Amino acid sequence: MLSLRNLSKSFLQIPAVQNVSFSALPGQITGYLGPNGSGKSTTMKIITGLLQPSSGEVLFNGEPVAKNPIRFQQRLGYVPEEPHLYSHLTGLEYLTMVAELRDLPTSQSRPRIDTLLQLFSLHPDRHVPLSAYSKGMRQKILLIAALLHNPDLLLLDEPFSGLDVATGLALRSLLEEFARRGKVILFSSHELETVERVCSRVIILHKGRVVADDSISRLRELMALPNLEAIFSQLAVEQDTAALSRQIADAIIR
Amino acid sequence: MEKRQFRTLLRLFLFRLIDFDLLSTHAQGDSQRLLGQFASLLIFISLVLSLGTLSISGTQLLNAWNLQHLFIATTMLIVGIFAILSWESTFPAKHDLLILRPLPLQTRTIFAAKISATAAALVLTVVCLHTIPSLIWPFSLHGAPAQKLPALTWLPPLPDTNLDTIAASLQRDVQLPNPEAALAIAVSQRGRSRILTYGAARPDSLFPIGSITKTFTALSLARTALPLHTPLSPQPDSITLLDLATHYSGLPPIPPNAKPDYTADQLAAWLNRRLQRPTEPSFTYSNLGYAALGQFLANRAGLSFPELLTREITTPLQLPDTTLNPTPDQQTRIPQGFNPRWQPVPLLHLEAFAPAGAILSTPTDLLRYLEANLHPPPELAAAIRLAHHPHRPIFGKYRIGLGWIIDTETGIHWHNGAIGGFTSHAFLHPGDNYAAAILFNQSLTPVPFVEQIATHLRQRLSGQPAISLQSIAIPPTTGILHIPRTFLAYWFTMLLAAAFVYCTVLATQGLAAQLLPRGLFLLTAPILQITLLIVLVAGYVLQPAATQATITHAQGSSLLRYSPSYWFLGLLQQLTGSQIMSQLAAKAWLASATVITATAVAYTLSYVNSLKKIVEQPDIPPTRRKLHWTTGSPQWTLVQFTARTLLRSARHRIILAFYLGLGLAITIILMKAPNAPPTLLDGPPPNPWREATTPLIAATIAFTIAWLTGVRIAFSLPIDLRANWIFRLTAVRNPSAIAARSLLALAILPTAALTAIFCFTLWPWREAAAHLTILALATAAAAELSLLQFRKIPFTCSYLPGKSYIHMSVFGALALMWFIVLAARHERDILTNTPILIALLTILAAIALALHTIRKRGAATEVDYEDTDPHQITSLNL
Repeated sequence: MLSLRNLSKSFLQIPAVQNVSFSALPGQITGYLGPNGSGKSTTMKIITGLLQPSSGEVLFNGEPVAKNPIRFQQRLGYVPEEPHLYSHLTGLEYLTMVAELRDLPTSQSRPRIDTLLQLFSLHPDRHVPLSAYSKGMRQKILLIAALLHNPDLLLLDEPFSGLDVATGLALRSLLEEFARRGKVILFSSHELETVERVCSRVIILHKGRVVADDSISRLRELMALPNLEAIFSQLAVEQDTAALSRQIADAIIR
Repeated sequence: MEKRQFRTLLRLFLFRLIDFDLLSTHAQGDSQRLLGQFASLLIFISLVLSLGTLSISGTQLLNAWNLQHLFIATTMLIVGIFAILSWESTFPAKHDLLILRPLPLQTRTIFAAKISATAAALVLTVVCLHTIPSLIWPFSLHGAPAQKLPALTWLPPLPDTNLDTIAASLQRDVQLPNPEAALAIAVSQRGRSRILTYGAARPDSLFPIGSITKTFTALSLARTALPLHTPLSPQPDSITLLDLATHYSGLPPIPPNAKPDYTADQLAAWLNRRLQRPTEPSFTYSNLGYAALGQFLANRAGLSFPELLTREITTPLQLPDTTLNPTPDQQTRIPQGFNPRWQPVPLLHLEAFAPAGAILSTPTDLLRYLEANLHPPPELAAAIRLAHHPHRPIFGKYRIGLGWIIDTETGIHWHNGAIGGFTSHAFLHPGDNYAAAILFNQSLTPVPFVEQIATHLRQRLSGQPAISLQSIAIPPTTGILHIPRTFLAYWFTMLLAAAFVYCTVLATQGLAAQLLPRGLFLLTAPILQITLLIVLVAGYVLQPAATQATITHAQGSSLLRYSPSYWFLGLLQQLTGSQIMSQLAAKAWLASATVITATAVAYTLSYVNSLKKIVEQPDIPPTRRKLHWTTGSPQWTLVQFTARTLLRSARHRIILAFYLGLGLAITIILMKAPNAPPTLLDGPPPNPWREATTPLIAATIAFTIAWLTGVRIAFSLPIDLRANWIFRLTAVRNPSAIAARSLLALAILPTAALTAIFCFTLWPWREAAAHLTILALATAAAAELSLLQFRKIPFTCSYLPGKSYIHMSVFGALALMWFIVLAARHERDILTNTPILIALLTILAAIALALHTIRKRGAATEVDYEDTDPHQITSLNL
């Protein structure tokens, strides 16, 4: 189980994440939602250890992550929001490098990389430098890199970004399958429809604070709203979108 | 609207020349700091160069040329490096097009903005480099009177090398520089001879022949039955006669208190305590040595030196007018001698130094002497053979016999002379059977007339094109207009030289892009880029300084005629009103016009043709390689990552290429003329490549250091900071071990392999193995030292400008060169001495091991991904 306790992070005294606490349970897919700039990616980076929290702590299976960050990172699979990769390496070279950095035995990593490249339809392009990959192809490489070492916890920041429909559907089933097999999955996305279908629970973040943390069905019930989009609009969208649209059109078309 | 678009794009492109991606956040996101560092480096270089300018006065034109050439070549080097470094930002790049093409922009606006950004950067570079010297030059050169100098051009070869043809051409071409001049040219070829005289000279005029005397003194030595290794004093390690005759005695050119009337006793007293052979004998031209040699031979024969000369040479060779003490009749036949400004100077009479330069001789006698050297009479044959033997090296292709300087490439034996009011030159070619002497009644000038004629005559006799004997008038550098004219000429030349080199790089890149298929171009572009950089750096370092001789060669058929920096030196002279290098200037005009046109065409074509192609095709062509290997260890994986980055990243390759170019140039300089160590044994000179000589040892050290430095510096520049997250998440530890292994794989092993191939192919295996072991241990120690504070994975940490103190590295490099040569010299001595060699290896191994241990102990397990400034002020928190 992944638990966040009173996590806060400020940049130059401007708070990005404030007092965030929640838990993500094994066997569940936890959706982490919020508008742009609400602090989703910051939270994700704090969990991975890329950023240090200003206060609060992260626990995995009851143990503070900061105590033994390496052990934690060995059990973590992470797909970052932006597909930053060493683009002078080929797909195969990059994945091999990651496997070796994760200390996977070659006998195990080689067939695994090969299978995953085939399953993600990247096998024909494995010798092509990543700089020549499309956005979707890079996203697939990031996913493979995150899954290679059979992690117990998956942190997925916008994992569907750039993926084609077929791969998106496959990923959705894959996440469900992983959850069934007891993995902890926390993923953020703006595709509320997908979130609604796969997530058992959602956490909604607004201006760095948690404004909702419950199962989608309970939220629907409590708020008496028909779907996640409506819930999200109510909790995290301040503007009246129709009025905003009118204002924008007025500003341009005179 | 277009104007505004242009301004916006100009700003965008100009600032793109700086790579923001490299910067550490601790640089406060400040590209100005990087720019400032670049500008201050240029100004520092310009200040150093300007120091020389202050010492130039208008009369020292030759030195001025040398400095002007240095300025031009340095400008071209800096602009060239700049052009190659900004290779990717001067032509349209894919991301430019992806962003700009959808916008309502005219192609010509993008085009104009790119060109203007490039031009602005170029001008800024040149301005930083030249503001100070451009103000000093016009004043330094101001005030020189009109001068006559040799034309520094060439005449085509004569139809044949017949003596009559040559004599006729000399009659036509030689013009006396002054009505008071007396010049005699005596030539002998295949048994026929001619004596040409000009002005006051006659075939029987007596000229002081200066240092040509030394060949007479040395021949006297060869005539004695004394072994050449006879010591001068009974003490061990005494200077030998051979040391004196070959200038290997270590004695100074003249004693500090010497005057012409220095007597034999004074000489003996001075020499008394200085007869110890130097520990490392080398060639030092010494009049003192020859004075000592002559006096020693005379004393031993119980004669005075003039008597010795008469007995040994002038009598057997029948040279009645070759003497140290001219008779009254002979005295009337001595022409008046003049100083460089054609003012009469009295005849110099030498006492103790007579054996070094006091003989007077006539063209007729001197020619007979040279003919005797070509075809020795039986009684002198053995002595002349001994005198012509190339006993010891001087430098490069030159060796020294007894007195005679021998050009081992052409087979010419020569000596020249200069003594108050007179200059002379004598040469002979025993193989081709010709000889000549030139005698002239003027002291040494910056461009000696006799040397010019001697060179010309040698070229004529060997059937080659000959340097012109014409002189050219250099206008005076006075008048109101001189200063502004020099100022403008200076700026125009520097800007055009900069534009030339910039356009050469662009045209090469642009034409390659047009002529090659896009895929092939992308593959070859990095190779092209690196080749250009290596050529540029090596060319800069290898080019000789601009002297009268090198300029003459540049205007002739030597390789120097292809040197653009010489062309622009010619242009600068032309623009300031002198036509002395007009052939070079013509090349500068033609080359600039060609290259600028080629660039314009390539640039236009690239905008017309390539835009579509660039957008459609990937930046890096797909590879067809199937080979893929794994190492199985995280640390070696990172070494593999490092190797791939260095091989595939243009930016890092360029840095390595720069250092390799520098290393290559130093190596070539050091290996150009490996002198054999002086040997006391007579016999054919050994092949200098076959032994571990100082220059060869130094060359391998320099090359290794350049490679190691290049790789180590490249490590500090990141490839893609944003992709570092993968290393952070996979918890990479122990960065200094990774860097050490990377240095081993990328620098130490490749250089060791190359050095091993070189040494084992050429040298005896024992010396080769010893040198390689020393080099390997020293390199390992240097690598360990360079990584002592290193807490980064190569290519992953951000870069903090200003930390590298580049300007200080100039001094560092000079100190390093000195250290390398010193180390090489000591190593050469040690290589054959087993006990000391073993001791040295043990010490080096101990140092390397100690540094290794220190590095490992102090090694941080954490990796730095953000560069910080260790020199920041630390707050005391009071």
